[in-house]
Amino acid sequence: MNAIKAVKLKSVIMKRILFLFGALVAGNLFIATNYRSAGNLTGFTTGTPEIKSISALAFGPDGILFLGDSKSATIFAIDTKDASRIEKSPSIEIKNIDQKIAALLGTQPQNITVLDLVVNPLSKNIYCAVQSIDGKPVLLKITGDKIQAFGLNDVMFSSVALTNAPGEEAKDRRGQPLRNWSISDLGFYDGKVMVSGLSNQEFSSTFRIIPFPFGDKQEQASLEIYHAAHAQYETNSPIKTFTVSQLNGKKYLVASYTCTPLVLFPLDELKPGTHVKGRTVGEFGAGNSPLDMITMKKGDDLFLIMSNSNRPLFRVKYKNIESYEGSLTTPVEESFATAGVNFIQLPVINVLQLDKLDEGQIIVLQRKTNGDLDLWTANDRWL
Amino acid sequence: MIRLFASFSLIMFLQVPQGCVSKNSDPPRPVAIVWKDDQATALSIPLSYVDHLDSDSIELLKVRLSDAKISTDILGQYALVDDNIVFQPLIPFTRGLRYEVVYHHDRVTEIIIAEPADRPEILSFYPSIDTLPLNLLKIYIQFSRPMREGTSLAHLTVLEDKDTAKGIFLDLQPELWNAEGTLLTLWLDPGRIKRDLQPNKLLGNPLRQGKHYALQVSKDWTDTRGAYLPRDYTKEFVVTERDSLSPDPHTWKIETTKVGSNLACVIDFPEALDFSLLHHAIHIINEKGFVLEGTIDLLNKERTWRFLPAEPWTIGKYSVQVETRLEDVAGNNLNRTFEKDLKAKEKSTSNSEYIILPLTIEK
Repeated sequence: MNAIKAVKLKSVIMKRILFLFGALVAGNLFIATNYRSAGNLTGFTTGTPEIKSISALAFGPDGILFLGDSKSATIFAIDTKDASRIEKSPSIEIKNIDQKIAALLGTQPQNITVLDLVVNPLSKNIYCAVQSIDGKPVLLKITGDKIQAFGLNDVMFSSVALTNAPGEEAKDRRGQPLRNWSISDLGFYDGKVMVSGLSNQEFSSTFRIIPFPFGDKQEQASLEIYHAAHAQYETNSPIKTFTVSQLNGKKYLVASYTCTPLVLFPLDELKPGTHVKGRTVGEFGAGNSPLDMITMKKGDDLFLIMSNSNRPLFRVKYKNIESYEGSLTTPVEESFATAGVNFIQLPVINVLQLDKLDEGQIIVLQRKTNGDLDLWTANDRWL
Repeated sequence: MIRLFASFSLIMFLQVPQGCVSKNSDPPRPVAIVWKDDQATALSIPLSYVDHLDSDSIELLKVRLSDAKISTDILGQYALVDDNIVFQPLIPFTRGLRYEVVYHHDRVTEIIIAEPADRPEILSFYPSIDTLPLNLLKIYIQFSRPMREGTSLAHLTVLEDKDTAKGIFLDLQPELWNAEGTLLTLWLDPGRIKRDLQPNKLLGNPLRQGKHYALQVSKDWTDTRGAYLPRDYTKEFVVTERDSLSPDPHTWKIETTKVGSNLACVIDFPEALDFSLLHHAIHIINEKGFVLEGTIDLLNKERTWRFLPAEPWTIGKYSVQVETRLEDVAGNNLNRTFEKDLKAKEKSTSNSEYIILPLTIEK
């Protein structure tokens, strides 16, 4: 009896599955056709990317989500098919988001870590990478107050491995890379994916520029970049977070490191095989690590907003950076003092994640003093 | 479309190994837990828990965390496999927690996911030596099982002559783990090691000469299954003077080996070298320049490198190829020291990628 029931039920469900598959395939074809005309899906295939970890997220054009996987030393480009543009997002507030995510994942808040959180600049939906105690990364999509899983099975994707010079990246007998990477930040600017990180072996900062769509030829450039020497020593420490901005008509990589120097590198000088020296324009305090950086505009003014591990949010006017001609080459003598470009400390602490929600709003993931982890929206009063 | 149907059926079949699912046909059969790699990855719920046989009924069947502050359906996929509904959550069920199967808002059964039977251990700390230079750059911790990532620094304490020393390690997110999740690389904050950088000026070198240190790893750290370390672990060391010299391969002692034998090629260094790089930066090459297959062991507290060839040595010319990126424990590699002094007139540094040393094979 049970067997007959099961067969009947199976038949009902399979019909439904077939219908869903049909709809999905038709949808894929429709959207794919639309995108192809934009030329962004070169090299994409449909399948399930083998993602071992999610270290950093960044959105590219047309709803393409870049995902930095330190464990497999690979950057994945996922077509989220979430590309309908809205200009303004409703403000979002999810209190105790860690408890809500934990419950949805069937575990306790202490067993999960939010790895990164980014806003899709077209749809304004929020994509959030979470890691549970077992190490498995999960991608969530947040629309309003609704949190749902973003499935990474049967998606359109392409990928590029973070290799060094040809032949240098040896593999062990099981075909795994010998180096472990830590991808600290990921961004998409001017048609290129930019990646900062550190390897477990030699001490050197790695910064890569990879043209997108990812081609057959890996045209990525691995760069040695140094920030301004204090006294006589220079360093190629790993960049913690970065953004790209135009200053005095020229594009710069704006980067920050542990102990919070703010360093500028002219983008046109970042070429492979060159020793690029950055100009330190600010020292924002020792005993701190920058976590996230975004650029916001209000009126004619552009602002850099920076979240920190042990400091409140910083706000820096790009005009001040433009007019700061100097380079800080002598150490700040007073403990925990700051120097260089003027910056404002905003009265908000423990901001773990930060992104631009729309032209006038910022999404903030904040650990409150009572221990709650809240997702909320700040408006342009901060600017 | 038929092919899609077939492949989907296969996936569903593979998701639940038949051996893992309870096959007891007497109603009510219990819910079976599907285990993979020691983790509870799915629940196999007999159809007898569903009273109406349409697809809507299945949609009314949900799995939730018992006694949770927020009661919500767990995200995952439901699939019909034989006469079971298999629920696969996005992440494995958490050990030690209880879950309820809910049908039409009523709890129909509860499942307890048992705690793991065994515990993870720390197998070793590297460098193994207990006298370390002031400018020590890295410490590696080798665990027996994959550990929970992202929380390392919360479980580590460094005591300097019994007082807590803070900010010793670089707070790196994501952390540097090997692919298996068993080897953690910790960087002592390089900004504090490099003289005259702001962190060094303000906070000083992470370690101080002449002091005794204890790196303590708390037993509160769990592995990826939630099993705790059985005890606190400690690595003790004393700190000596700064090491500002590059390792010199020409001072290494290379033991000769014999044709036709499987004897090891052994290289002794006058100082301990970097644990990770020793596995990757020294190769034995034959006269055609091919790298020999074999096994590498580190002995004598990372002061001896031993290579056992997969094939016996044959008559011919062999050499030891050392990549210049090989470092000592203070981050000085064969080409340059860790600190680059821009004012000092350094001896001309090489840019070569390899140093080749002769290897004698006796007949």
